[in-house]
Amino acid sequence: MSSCLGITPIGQDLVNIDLNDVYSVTELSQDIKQLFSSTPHFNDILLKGEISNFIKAASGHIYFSLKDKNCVIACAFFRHLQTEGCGDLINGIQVVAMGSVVVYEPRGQYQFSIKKVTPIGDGISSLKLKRLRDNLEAEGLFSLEIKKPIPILPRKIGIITSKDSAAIKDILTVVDARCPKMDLVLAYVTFQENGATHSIINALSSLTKIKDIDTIILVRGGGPSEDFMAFNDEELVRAIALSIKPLITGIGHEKDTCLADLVSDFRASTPSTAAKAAIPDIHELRNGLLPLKHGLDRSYKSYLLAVDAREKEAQAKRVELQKLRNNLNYLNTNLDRSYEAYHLRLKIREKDEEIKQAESKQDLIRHNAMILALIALLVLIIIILLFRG
Amino acid sequence: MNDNKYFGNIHRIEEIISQLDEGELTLEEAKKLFETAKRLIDECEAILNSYPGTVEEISFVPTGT
Repeated sequence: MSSCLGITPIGQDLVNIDLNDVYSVTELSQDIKQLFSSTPHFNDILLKGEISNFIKAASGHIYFSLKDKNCVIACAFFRHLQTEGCGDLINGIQVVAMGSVVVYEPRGQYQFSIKKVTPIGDGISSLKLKRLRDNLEAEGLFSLEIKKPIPILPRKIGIITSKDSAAIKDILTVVDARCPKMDLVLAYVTFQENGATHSIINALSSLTKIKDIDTIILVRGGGPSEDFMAFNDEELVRAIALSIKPLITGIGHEKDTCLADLVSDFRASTPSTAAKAAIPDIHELRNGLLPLKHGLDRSYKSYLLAVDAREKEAQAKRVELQKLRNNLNYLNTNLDRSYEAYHLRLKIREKDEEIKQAESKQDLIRHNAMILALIALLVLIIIILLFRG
Repeated sequence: MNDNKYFGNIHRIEEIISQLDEGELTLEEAKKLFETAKRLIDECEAILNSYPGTVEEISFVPTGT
């Protein structure tokens, strides 16, 4: 570092300056970098904080921020320094990192260059939880395909919760509002860390054996985070996965999601929502029957009216048909009559002809007879004349 | 659970209404189907009214907790 470069005496007038004594940006950045690298306070130090903005670049380098309550430091963890287990780093976990503060001159930024990193405290729990979650997910325990449908009209509902909790009160309020006569089996358990898992598993196992329980809900209200540990227990998660009855979870509040939620058949954000998912709204279902009843009555009446209308139409057609038929009969009678008259006339004409012919024949005979008589008379006269003569 | 019975009935009632609306049934068939649908509605109502409202309590809290 130059001993006088960029150093201005107090009161120095900026008009009369020697530009050779002025820092360039690069010179200052290089000096800062040199300062950081030569100061033991910034090299090979341990830094603790929570990981955020975690990014693994295509190059394999890992970038994230370490933060505490007030401040954030950008960190870089280059690929050649990464060891096994670095894949477990995720946002939100606490870590201790060993490294040095370095300056990235092109941007004039400082960052913590990490050589080693290890999760600590809740970070380790988070890491274990993440590993368990990944394993269970890989086994397909959270798969949508294996989730059982939630019955709409369950015969009986099993509720697993702690006695005198706010959750049970919330559920009973929902029961009163939706189906006051719903059959319930309340299975009381403890959610305290010691014994919670087995208490819940025993309750689940017993409710599963009750034949007419069609849905089970597992609920607890909000509370200290350590009370949620049981819901991340592998044994409980597997017991839920093996349950032959559909299970709804309503654990804590909206922001809390645990492994039991992921493995359940339906995850509700609160105990009340869980109860609404399990308990049928009888009033709504009953109201749903009304349009069906009215629709049936209306359709049947319409059908009968249509049948009646068709019957009347058929009757009118029958009357019309009868008129046509009568008309036809009348015409038929007339036709017969006319035909008979025609025949009669024809016969009369024939008779007339016959009579005429007969009369003509008689005239001829009479004429011939007359001729014969005249001939005979003539012969007689001749004979008489001959005798006289 | 009563889902299959209840929603099966609802589906059949809707089918019957459609058949009546089509109007191609004989009077005897229509009457028979109407009576069937009425009976199915009664069954649905019976399901909704069938909850006895029992509440059973079992404790799984370990002793000493």
